[in-house]
Amino acid sequence: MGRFWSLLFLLVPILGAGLFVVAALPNSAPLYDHWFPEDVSRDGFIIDNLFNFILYLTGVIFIATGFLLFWFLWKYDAAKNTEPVKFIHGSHTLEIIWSILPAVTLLFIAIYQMDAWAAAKMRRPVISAGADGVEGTSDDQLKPPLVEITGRQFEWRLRYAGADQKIGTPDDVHGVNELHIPVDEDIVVTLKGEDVLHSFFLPNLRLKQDIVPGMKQFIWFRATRTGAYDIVCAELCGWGHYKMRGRLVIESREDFDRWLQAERDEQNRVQYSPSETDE
Amino acid sequence: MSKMFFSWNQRSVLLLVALVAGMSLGCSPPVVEFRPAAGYKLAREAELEVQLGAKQEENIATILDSLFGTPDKPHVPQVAEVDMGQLMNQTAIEMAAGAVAVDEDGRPHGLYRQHCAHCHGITGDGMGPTAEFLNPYPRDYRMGKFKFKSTTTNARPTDDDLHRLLKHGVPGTAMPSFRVLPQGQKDSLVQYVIYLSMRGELERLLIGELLGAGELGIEGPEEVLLTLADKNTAEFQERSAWVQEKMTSIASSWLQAQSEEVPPPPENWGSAESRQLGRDLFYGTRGGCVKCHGNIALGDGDNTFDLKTPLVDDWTKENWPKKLGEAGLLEREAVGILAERPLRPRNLRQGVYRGGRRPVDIYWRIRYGISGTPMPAAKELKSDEIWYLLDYVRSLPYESISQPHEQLRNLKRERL
Amino acid sequence: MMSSTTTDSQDHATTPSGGGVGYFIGKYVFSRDHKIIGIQFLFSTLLWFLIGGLLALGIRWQLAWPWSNMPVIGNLLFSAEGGQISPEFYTMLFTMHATVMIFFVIIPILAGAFGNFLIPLMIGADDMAFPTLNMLSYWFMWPAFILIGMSFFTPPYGAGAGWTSYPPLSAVLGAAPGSESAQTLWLLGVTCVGISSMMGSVNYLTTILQMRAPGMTMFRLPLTIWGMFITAILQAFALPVLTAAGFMQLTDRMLGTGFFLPEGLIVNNSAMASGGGQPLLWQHLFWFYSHPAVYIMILPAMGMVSDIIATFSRKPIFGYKPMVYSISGIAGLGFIVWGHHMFVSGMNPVLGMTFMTATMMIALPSAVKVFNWLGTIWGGKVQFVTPMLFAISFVSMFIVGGLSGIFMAATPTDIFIHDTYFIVAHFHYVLFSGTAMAVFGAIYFWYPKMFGRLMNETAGKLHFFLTFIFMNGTFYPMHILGVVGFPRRLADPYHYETFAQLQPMNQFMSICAIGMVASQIIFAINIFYSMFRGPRVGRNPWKSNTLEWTAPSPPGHGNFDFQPIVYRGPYEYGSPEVDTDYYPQTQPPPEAESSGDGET
Repeated sequence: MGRFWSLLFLLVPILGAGLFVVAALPNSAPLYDHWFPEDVSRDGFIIDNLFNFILYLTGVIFIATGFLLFWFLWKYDAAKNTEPVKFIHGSHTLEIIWSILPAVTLLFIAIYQMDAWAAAKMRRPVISAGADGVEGTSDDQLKPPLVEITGRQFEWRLRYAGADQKIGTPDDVHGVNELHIPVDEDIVVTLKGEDVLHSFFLPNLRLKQDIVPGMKQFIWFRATRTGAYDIVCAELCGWGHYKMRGRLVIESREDFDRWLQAERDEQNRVQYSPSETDE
Repeated sequence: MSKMFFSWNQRSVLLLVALVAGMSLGCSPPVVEFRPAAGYKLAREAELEVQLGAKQEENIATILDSLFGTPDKPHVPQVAEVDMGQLMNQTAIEMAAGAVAVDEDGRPHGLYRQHCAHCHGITGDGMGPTAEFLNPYPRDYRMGKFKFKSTTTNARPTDDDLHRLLKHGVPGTAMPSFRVLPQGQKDSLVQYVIYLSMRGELERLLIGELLGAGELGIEGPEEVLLTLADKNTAEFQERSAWVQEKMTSIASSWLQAQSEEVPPPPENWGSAESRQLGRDLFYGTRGGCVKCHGNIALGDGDNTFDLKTPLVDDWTKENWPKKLGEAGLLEREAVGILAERPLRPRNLRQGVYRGGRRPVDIYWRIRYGISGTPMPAAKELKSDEIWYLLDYVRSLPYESISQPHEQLRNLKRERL
Repeated sequence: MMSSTTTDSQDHATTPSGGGVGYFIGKYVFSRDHKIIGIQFLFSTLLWFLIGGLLALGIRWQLAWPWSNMPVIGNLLFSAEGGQISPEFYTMLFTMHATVMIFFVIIPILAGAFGNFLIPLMIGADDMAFPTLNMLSYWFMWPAFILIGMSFFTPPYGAGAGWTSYPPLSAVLGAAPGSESAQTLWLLGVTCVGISSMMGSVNYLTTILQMRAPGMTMFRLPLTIWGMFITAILQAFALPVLTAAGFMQLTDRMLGTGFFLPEGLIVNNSAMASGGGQPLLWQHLFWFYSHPAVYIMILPAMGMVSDIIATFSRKPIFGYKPMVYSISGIAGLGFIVWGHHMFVSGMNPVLGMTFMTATMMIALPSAVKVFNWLGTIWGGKVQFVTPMLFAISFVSMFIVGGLSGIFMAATPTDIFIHDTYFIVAHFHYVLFSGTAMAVFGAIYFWYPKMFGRLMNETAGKLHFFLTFIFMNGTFYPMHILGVVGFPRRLADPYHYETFAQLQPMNQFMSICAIGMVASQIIFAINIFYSMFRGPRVGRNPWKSNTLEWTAPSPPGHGNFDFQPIVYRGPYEYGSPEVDTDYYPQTQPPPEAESSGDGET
């Protein structure tokens, strides 16, 4: 019976690692599209690479420890093992080795990705580095936001800056749920909340930031490919949390300008005659 | 231990029986039915002091089912002299109705139940499970009244109006934007809403008729409107014709819905002068806005404090007639009528425009009022005056007193 | 500092003698005997385990077949909609599933059931230091059971703001259907659980520190006791913060305070009156408790697993002192990592770096423990009995759960996987595949001591096998879902293009979940059947070293019928000093050699 159980435990690293391999390989049936969503951002690859690095590392440990567990169970099955028990209380050397090695590895992982975190959350794009010529100082001229997104139950209300480049003035263009942005540009977005916590999640840009009422936050990203993608709410906001689906439309600058102008015109529509039909 | 009541074998059998019973309780889905219009029925019964009989209620359900079908199997009603194809088609209705599923061709079904029913209810009565938690309540389609449209006050909304509602949602309420839903699915939902609305309107007429308030002279709770047993009688013919006539009138009112023209704004529209003119109208007697919208447009006008005639919308007024005794209250709660709520006029300084923020939208709101609410149609105002008025209203959210948090650092006093 | 052994000092004075209802109530209902209290906790929590499992099935059903007729619930509660649940019902399902499992199952079963039963027995005491307080700690669970039970009957059938209860969603009455009276009941219920836990931890700390038998030094304590001891310290220091935060949320909801509510909120069309608060404050306070809470939910299990593995490997624990230091290290580090739940919350990103570093370091003592368990099995004689199977699976599954934690400890990856099913996979692996499996193993292991009979071994192995297979089928694919970005808490995720193709995998998982819950029927039948018909056993059916196996099965009042004196550590299996392959802690050393205290 012991052999059977040992083999059962051997299935864990085999099937466990196997599932990840099958899911990660492109076009592997039946797990099509069961891996990272398409990355259309400039910096998303950093997150994907870090994930994969940790995956390989933990994968090796997972398979090794899983195999060791199986091997020890197989070899030292009381029903089959006739040798006396090794009466040993531990090994100082081993304890040191397997404390230091993981500690070093973990510290390495920790420090290795601090820069990626800082880039994602702390370094807002600047138009110019200011008088001192150094970015990251207080005299930088920060890039103004393109759009202000207010999360409310259960939609994303958008407000594009008008000609005055300021959000909150009468020439803003209002929208809901469909966010258009130009491709290949640094985009800065303001996030605000009106009622409860939400979270602005763009899976295809590897971007997520909680929306906190009472706090005005900035996020930034750069898209590198055009297309339409999902906006997902990633913080429970009530019964309609699942309904907060938005669409992110990444298009060329000309298309974007044209779209924004069309929205502006529609928003300022001052005439209607019955012969027309709406949208 | 102590003595046991049954032997182990008997206990196992009991357990098995219990399990099977439990499973069978869960395995067959309940049949979905349209809910009868209890609110309207109670209101008319109270008003006319007559009760609707059980046979009459059954008869109403039968007539409606034969004309419209069921929530799982709907069909476009046959209406004399009207091409129903202009309003709805069978495929679209079937796509919207029924349980949520995907058919073999990959087409979705049950769209209404997936997206709408938990607020608007299976019957379109605005009483789905989530409705009691929402402020404002979801729309009850059965009156045929819709608030935000481009048609005259008592007319039906156009197809475009309903599409615009789906696309933009109703900002400031729980009605979300369905912009990202494919157009075909939105079409199907709009048609189903019209379907439910028509069904609801006919139901109201049938109730009124069977309570004896109509032209057919029905007397007493035992007399039904139509039974197949009598199908060769003259009375049957007369009554069927009556039903058809009512259906025609309902369908025609939908078909005839047309967006009203919005004349162009005056030359000086958009200037400070235009806003000043609008301001005068707002606070003056010709506009009459402050009675409801308040002295500084915060939605707290004198009318909102009137206890004798509180501001309510038509749906609330019907469900909660005045002078309702304890019994009336319990009756309504028992059928799930949502708690009574007063209506709040819009706080115009928030910049939230439920029916759309385009100037034409606000023009329609002012010119034709908001159907189903005390917001009246401004018939006496000339079109230029309406334009000035709405210019002022649109500027309100940007005044400094409308944005207190932005102004916290500017501690100068502002004069209104 | 010895307590009496065989006297029945505690409840003879208060228990009416003779038979009758009064006697029964005094002896079995309002008992102050730690063993009875432990068993009361055990059965109460197992009942809530069933309820929590059914709630989980509701979640799994909705995710597999969204908006279809939900069995039983659909007919009972949503017949007008054809059995289709409402979205707010779904928010209740996941809120109450987590609340029940965390506060009514895992925490009380580890500390309340096993802590209570085992601590005095394993340290050689006749009862807890404060028996009446102990009884109160059980009975304080009942107001919690009733309050939360009541919340299932308030609209929309329970609280719906998540077990994390983040404001403003939870603090503003109109913000969610489940944020009205149900949420108040929830807060009060959780407070009662907190009070019960505090009472328990005071008792355990005092008992372990003050009432050990002669010769039982701290470093001769079994690792189960170390686990319980460190857990009690965690409870004592972390719980007050949660209780305080809970009161602050209650006053925000009912008294108009604004601890967590900023100005200018417009929720469900009502402008909020209170303001000046910060929603993030709740998150800090909540996670300051709830992160140590997750260690509260695993350390006792780790201790019990150590004891079971040593017993059935017939070998000493490899690295006893490193194991103790690791438990302490996990607990200590556990206090400074709470911010890793808040990396994308809007918290200052600099804190992201500090919390990340500390979180990474927790993997270290966890790894040390896993290596030491492997070292214990190596070179032993492994007996594949049911408790051992569960204990081995704990090790195997904890490796998965622990390694998956590293992904979310890294802040940039957490940006993507936060609030996705990757997180759900991680905590279900450590909590269910880890702790719950350890709990099952502990039940099989200590059942003979509790009830004097053995559970059926074949049924036990079958239970293990089915649970193991179905559990992995349910939770392992969640890792893959998380990589796709599949979010948590969505009632209908498939209308997003990104997630539409994931329904078949979810259906597979749901079928496995149904199988998993069904497999527990074997366990339940085994527990009840064996209590009346299982083979009777003597004191030490497993030939284990620790003190509880020297007491009768079940132990009488006062536990031991002799004064336990401890000569060595708890893991002297296969010792050359004796002929048997085990060497109980209380067995005096052979006369021929000097009786050196068994050093570990």
